[in-house]
Amino acid sequence: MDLEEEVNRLELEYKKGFAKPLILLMLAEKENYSYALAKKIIEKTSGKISIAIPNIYPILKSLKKSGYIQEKKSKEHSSRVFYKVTELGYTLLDELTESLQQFLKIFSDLIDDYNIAKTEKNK
Amino acid sequence: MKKDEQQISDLPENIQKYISLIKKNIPGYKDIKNQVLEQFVLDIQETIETTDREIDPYTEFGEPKEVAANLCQAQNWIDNTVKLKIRSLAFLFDIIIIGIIFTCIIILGNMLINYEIYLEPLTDNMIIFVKIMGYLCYILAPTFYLLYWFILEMISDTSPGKRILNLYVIDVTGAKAQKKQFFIRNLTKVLFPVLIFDIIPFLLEKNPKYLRVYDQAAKTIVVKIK
Repeated sequence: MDLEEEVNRLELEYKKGFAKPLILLMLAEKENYSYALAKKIIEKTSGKISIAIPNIYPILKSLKKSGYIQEKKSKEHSSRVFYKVTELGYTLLDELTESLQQFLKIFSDLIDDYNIAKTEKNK
Repeated sequence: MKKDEQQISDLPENIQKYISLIKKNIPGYKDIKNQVLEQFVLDIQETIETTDREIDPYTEFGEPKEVAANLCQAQNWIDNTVKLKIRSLAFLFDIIIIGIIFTCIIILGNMLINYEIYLEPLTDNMIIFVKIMGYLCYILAPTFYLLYWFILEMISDTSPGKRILNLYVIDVTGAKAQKKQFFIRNLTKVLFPVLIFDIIPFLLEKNPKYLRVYDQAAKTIVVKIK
């Protein structure tokens, strides 16, 4: 396996882990349906993260089953199933965003440390 | 033509072919497949409407088999695992159907072997032919019994007995089960003494969903799909 493949594989692995919080955050901003959600993810992340539409369905189902989101029929688009975050979902997001921020901070610090160590090593 | 079918027929030909491949990987009858595909078809329509370029569904959405697996997993099927008594009822229906056909084949075989009772005297060649056909019926009957389970489930994800109760065999993940899985789970009809192992987890209540030994080996579950 070459380096690029390995990077892609690792990227895919951690992106998969962020899929649920990502969708939940997007829905917290605005209730939405599968297609619009997929487009919004691409738009919001400037194309750095994209989830194929068929991959969104099981995630939505899982979030719904856990009670974090609920289905809603739209008046404008009668055949479309919209999803909105529930009270429980917002509670989860409150906890999760805090933990995510801590996690990102740790990683950001680790990356900074790595860059400093690398610069010193190259001197 | 129904509304959902109309929606699909309005799509470009390559997309229609792609959807038909997805359908093949979704268990259940036509209405179930259309219901599973409902939102996805709307998503495809919107994708086409919002772009000028020609859409390659394989790069845009993925391989039909994977898409079908995702669509199936998004249903609530795995939460509808059926209990032992319902499965037993379906088995009883199947046994009745098999019994009737099996008996008919055996009676036909008997009639052909003992043709003298039912038919006028035949030529020597006809006698040989009729007797061979009669003995073939004896082979055909048990073959039918095996094919009933193996072939019907492979083709339709269900058996006639299960179909009466809207029961389907699917993969534990919620996706459509593969031919190999149907083969493994139906070995129970041949190697039935192994079924004794089914009783143990059932008695110990460690297997509340009553996953039969062969279901465990095949990684399949029987669910009710409405």
